[in-house]
Amino acid sequence: MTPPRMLQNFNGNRALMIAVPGATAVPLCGMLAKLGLSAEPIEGKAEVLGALASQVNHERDVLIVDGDADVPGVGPFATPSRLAMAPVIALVGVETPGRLRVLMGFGATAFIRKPVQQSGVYSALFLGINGYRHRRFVDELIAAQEQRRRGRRALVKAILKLMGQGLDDEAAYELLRKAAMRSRLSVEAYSEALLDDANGPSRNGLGDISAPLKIRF
Amino acid sequence: MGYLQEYRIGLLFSTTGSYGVVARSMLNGALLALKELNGEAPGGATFVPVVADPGGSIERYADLCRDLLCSGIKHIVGCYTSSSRKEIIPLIEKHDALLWYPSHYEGFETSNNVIYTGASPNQHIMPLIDHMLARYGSRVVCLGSNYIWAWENNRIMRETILLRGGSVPLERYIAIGEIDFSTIIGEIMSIRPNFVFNTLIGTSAYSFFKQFREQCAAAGINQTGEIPVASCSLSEPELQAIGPDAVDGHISSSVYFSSVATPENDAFLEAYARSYPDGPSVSADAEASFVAAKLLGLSIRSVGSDNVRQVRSDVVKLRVKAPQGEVFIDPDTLHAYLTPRIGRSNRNFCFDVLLEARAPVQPDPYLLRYSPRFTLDQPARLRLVQ
Repeated sequence: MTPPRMLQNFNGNRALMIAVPGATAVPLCGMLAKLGLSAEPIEGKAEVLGALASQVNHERDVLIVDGDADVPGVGPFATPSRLAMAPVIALVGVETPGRLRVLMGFGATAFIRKPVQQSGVYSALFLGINGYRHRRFVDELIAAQEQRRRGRRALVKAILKLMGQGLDDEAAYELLRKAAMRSRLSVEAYSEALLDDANGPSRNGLGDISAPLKIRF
Repeated sequence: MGYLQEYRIGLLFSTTGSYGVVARSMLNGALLALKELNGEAPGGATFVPVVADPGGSIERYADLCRDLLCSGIKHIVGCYTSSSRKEIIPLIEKHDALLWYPSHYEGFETSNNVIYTGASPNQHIMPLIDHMLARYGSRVVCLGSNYIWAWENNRIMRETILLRGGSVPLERYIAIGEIDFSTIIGEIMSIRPNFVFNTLIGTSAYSFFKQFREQCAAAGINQTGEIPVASCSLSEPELQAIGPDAVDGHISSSVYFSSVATPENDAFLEAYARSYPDGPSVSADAEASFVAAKLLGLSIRSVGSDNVRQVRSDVVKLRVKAPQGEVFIDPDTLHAYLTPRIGRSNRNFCFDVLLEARAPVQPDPYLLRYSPRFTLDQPARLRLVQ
């Protein structure tokens, strides 16, 4: 997996401004417009936020949430264990640990201090959007690694089975690796498919349990 | 007897210190504009310059700026380096005053309390890249002083060059004031790039130009023809500092050269020479200072007050015939529409203008229209001058 490219130009992005009051929204929208972003106000109500998830595109949208507003629950946002649906930048007025923790729970990857000054908005977008992209990449990487980890059991079984056919462990692994590459699968996924097939009625022609594992060379 | 309204204008330039030469030409430009304004409308509002010199010391900028603001001054024309501008902007914003910043810079800033009359990156570096790639090739060595101007311009150069299929085999940063370039020049000569992109400043730049020319000549290389040096900060006072042996053949991108052929420039050069016979010679930043002070004075006269809010609203409606051509302020970014040009230095310590834009170009301080993410815009198309 290739790490995401660092973005520096936010022209064409959309800022969804959740529960941002007018006095803060006016200077913020002015600066966002200078940076090429359009801004849309979003009410901080549970039903509005609930419907938001289906409309948000994490490549295009950035959520800007007022940390001092009473936004119900974490709604469609991240729990600390889940990634937010799009980059979240929080506007911070009250700098108490409780509020900051809630904002991080929303998935905030950057803060803008209130009252909003023009300087600092670009840095917050840069950090918030690139931080989110990096976190998303790491999450996907971990998920992929987890899936492979789970597949190691099938790989070990497949190696053992091939060893039963007279190969040593190195040769068995090498055979599986090459066959997996030809099939454009990870070696774990290939082993799983191979064993599945061997365990039941033939689904993909890879063989069955009673027969030796057959790998196309 | 009528009451003659006087407005005190702060002029904050480091006329002594390491970049004093350019700053003196900037102060001269601003003073000349105020003098002309005072002479234009006898009996009308007059402008009294209040000059402060931080001497190139970053700590002095905030103190002197605070003194000017606390004395009731609402408008300051000044600053050359980005570090000095960043130092005083918080004070300017706190007092809700206006800084008229008259220097080309690296962009990535807007403030409601700053009017920018110098060139934005899309008005200097983008036309330069376009010209150098078309004329010389896309294998580039980047050489700069170790600070923000060089870092950011080299980043823009590198990203654009790579995007267009070129290469940057060497990128080097030198401490400000360093004057020994023998090792780096050796590297450049062994790489033989299509051109060198120079973002060195002050004495480092002058030393590099001289040593590069000498070492190329010793190796039998025609430096200007084979490895030209391109800059977007080189101006006429600096050509004097390079000296006669290495002054010619350098490419510079700027919105103003003293050789620009307009009646307004002829008048500007004549008035400048008459007022400041001892120099330093005019520069793009001197012209930007002249334009900044002119716009400021005209706005104050137009609204009949130096009230910041009114002046800011009025200045975006003005169009002035500046020495470089028509100049006006973009209401969204408060940066100036300016006319990009490419020049080549000659033995008379001036630039021959090779190319220029047909009309003033909209400022784009965040380079939003040059986005590798969506589409790659072409820089402003320049027309052939000679």
